[in-house]
Amino acid sequence: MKTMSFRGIGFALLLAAITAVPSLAQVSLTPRGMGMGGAFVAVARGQEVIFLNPANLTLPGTPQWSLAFPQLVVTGTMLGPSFGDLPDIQNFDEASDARRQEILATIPESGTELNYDLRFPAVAWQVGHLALGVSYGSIGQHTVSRDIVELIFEGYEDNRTDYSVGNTAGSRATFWDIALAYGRKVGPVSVGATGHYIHGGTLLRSRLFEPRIDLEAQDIEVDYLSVLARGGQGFGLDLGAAYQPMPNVTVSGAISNIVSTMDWSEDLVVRDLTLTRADFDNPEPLDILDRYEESEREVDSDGATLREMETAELLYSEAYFPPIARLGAAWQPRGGTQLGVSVEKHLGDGRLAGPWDQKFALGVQQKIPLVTLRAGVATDLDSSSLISGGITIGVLEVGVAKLNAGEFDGASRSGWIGSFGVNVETPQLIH
Amino acid sequence: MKYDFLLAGMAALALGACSPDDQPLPFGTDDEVTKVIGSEGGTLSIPAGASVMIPAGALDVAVTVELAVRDLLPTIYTADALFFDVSPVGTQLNVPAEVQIRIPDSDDAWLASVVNHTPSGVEEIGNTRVDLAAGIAAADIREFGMLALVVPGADAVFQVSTATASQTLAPEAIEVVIGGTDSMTVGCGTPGDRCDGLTASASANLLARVEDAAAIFPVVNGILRFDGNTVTGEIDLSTSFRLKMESGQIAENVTFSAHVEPTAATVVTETSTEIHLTNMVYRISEAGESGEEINQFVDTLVIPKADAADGSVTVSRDFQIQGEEGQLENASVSITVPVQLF
Repeated sequence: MKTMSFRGIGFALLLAAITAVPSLAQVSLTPRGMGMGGAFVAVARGQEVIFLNPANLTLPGTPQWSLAFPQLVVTGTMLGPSFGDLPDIQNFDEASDARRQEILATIPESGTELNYDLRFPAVAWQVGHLALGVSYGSIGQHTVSRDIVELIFEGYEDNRTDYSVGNTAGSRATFWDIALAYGRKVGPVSVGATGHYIHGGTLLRSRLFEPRIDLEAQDIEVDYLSVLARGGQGFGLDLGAAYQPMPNVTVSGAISNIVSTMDWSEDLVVRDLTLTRADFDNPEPLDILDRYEESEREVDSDGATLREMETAELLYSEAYFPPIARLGAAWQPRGGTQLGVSVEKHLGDGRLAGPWDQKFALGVQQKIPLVTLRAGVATDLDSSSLISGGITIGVLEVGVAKLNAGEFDGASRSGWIGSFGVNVETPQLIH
Repeated sequence: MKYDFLLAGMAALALGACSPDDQPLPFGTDDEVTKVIGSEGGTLSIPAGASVMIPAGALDVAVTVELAVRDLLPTIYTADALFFDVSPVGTQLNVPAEVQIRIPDSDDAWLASVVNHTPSGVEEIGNTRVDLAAGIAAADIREFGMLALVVPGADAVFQVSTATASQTLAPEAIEVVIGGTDSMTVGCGTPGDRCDGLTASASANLLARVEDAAAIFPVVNGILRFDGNTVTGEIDLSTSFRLKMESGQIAENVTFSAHVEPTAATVVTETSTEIHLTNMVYRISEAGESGEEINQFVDTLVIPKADAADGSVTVSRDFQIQGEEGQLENASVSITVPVQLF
């Protein structure tokens, strides 16, 4: 049925943009750090310091060894609808007209936007002053014009010829980060360095082109084009220092990616999907995804069509890690209580780190019998903020945060962060 | 003190930290590219803003194809246009190749059309697809030549604003002498010899679906020979109706050709004010060499004499579009050619 067909097509497009290849992640927050709102720079010990501040490897409170296997941090935001609307969006054909209109009303004229950030430390291992981490990162976003959302919700209006795909486009980057960290004491100050080897996975830009409407044939064709680069490598160096002016106070600072490189593959491939009226009238989303993936072909440097070049225009733009300065302090007034504060600022461009250019965070951690509880707040000192909480039960660590990412075009951008991990460490501490 | 130095060193490192430069795209940077293209087809592109996609089967044998940008050249159309050579110029293709050219900034960008200068002549491709959002125009070519994307001049564009209003320029007289072996010749539409006096119109329901419409590069040519009460010859008319869709982001085309010729039953009759050619066959088809025939009918061609007003011949292409209630309804685009005898 025509009203059903566009919806299947719409979801297929979103799936094609956001999924397709297995996501690999790079850790930037551990569940414990996330539970404290990110105010963890001076609190982190053991394997947790690999991607924060290697200088903490020599601080008191560091276990003889620690192992995290695995950990997962997932962030998702939407512009307009909230995540609570997702079940009704997913089952839009079962939702009432009033409910669909209610959701549609939350989408601004410029369209909606989906963002995700997935970090998956496959393993993080610390022994003494040395630590090794292997993690996987996947970040992506896709904008969808309001007209496309209307197509999904309401189906194709036969007499309507003003459909515009607008800025329906997406991007994705996946990578592995293999990090080796080392810390040592220099007098009362701890210093450390982390070297990163980055193995690029997939870099992608995609775009939906304006529909070709054949009035007399009552036909429509819509092209969805993706340009991908697979593979690449980069290097990075973090430097950090930490100091305890008093036994229960820690000051810790680091600069991530103080030097870094990232070179993505120049062997580009293109995926090209054309949706026709036949697809709209009889949609097979999985078949459409298959066609999309099977359309993949290589493109050489002087053999790309103009549309492929236009789609690829921002493929490599800021596809690297920015230098980030972090400074934090932690205070442990009692044995089971820790308070943390941290500030963070991006010192340059780069879209493979988090979306906030700067951050101020406050967090608290309280150990009680059997469990440890955490809470925190953070802000980008602009329009975004988050509130978080977390818990550790034995080796299991869980954190969750509600993210408010400001407003755009009169609509709110919000989301959630969820994290999970297993952390094992020795009770004996190094000195 | 050495720890102060350590902190100072960290601060200095922070100040010196910087991001790497953006990696450049691996596309060529030259203004020309050469490739050997065989029967399997291939694509050439240059960053100046053009690509040529040659499909499989377009060439029978391997050909060294070059795409190169030429300097800005003055045109008979509008402002200077950037020309692209696709060589060997004159190479005929079995299957059309698609050219994509970046659209220049212009308020009338929706009218942008590809022009192909070949040894066979100048082909003004009214059937150019315009994507204003992407900034790319695309058209099919069957012969390699010198390409440019131009916005046609006012003399080649016949704007359609409403179903009843239309643009009409000064009428062009068509000279005929009746008696003996006489003929009626008409020819206009080539660069430098545009068709004056044409009227372009469209049905109201079609115009309600689009933001703007215009007939581009209309061409009329042919000859009718009168021998007593019989007539031989033919008249051809072709044009492309460019339709700017309601989104304002794309422009599509409805093309048609009209071929008018006498049948065996055609008889020439005459009144004081008109000449009637009965049983003339009208063949309406899509424009282009492989244009599919859409409609054929027989009608009387009426040619007003010199002192008659509003003499004209109208050819239309009829088709169906979705109505507001989802039903199919008739729509049409028409070209009216002023005709007059002296």
